[in-house]
Amino acid sequence: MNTVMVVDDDPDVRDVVERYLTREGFKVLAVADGKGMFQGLESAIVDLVILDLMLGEEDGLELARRLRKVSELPIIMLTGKVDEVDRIVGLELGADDYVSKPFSPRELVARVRSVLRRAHRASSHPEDGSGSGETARFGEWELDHTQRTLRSDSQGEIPLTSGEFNLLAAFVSRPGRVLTRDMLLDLLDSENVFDRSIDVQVLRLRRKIEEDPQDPQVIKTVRGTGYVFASTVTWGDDTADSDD
Amino acid sequence: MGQDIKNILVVDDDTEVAEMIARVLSRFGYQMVITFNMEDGLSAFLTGRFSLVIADIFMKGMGGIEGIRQIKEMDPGIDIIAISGGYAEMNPVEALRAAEKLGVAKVLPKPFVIDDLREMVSEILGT
Repeated sequence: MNTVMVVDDDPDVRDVVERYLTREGFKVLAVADGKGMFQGLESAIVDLVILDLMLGEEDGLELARRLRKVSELPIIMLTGKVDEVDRIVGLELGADDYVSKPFSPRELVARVRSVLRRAHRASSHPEDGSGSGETARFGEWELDHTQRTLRSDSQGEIPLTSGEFNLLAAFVSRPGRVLTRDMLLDLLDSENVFDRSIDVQVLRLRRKIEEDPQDPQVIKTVRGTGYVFASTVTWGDDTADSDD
Repeated sequence: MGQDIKNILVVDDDTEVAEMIARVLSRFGYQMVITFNMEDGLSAFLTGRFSLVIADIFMKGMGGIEGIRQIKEMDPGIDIIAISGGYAEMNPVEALRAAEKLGVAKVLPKPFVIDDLREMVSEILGT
């Protein structure tokens, strides 16, 4: 289930967007300002942000800029009728689409779907089901989502349990994001995974992929919060090499 | 320049009629939002400022009369044009008379000539 965050200071707009997106099967987090947005992003996995550019005293463009600095999350901007320049600036800043206010809620839902489709195609997150055939590369490692294997040139294939693979897949699809244990439990979506077992699996993964498991550089601990996958991840299809 | 753009909401379950109205009026510089039922229309109405609503009277789900009543409740000053072709039990004249009682600015029986609607819109909005 995709989670969409709506950032708008108008409670009517928040309510309408929440109602329509929930009805369409999205999980919705509705917040009124930038503070709520950044707090929400720390505590939940969000797949897309709908951001109003006129947030009372806050500048939505500035928020979009700050958001872009820390995240590649798709952004749909809500703009007023006189915001043509802002609209252009927003798109330049990396917003993925915009919807003018007032809007048809169904049109907004359609835009959300379309932007998410594009974003998923671009990132091919394994949990979307669109990542089949994709290989994530980080450091010397290759995580193959089709074969569900982890290997490197120097160490060959490293056996992973199903739980370890799922956890690693959750990490590599969200590099640079701080993931709390709750978020990881949500992502793993398994009844058999408990809070502490995340820690145990992280420990095991570190033994397998870290040069020095005592000083982890790939899966780092964020004290009191959770973990962050600190390696750069690139995605590609192994079959691409077959033409050579 | 952009400040003069007027937002118009069209609510009609006849998608061809709604789209035709939106297409024609957008050529005259109006910003159009269309919905194909009154429930969506009411939701769209909450998302920003409209200068005018063009609503069909007979639609599946919530009808235009109830919708117009609710829109007027939310914004008593909003201008509304009611359009209707009537249905088996009520002719368009009666339906539109009912709409008039709710304070709509203009009524227009279907079928109508699009130029008549455009002139009505222009007259109401002073454009």
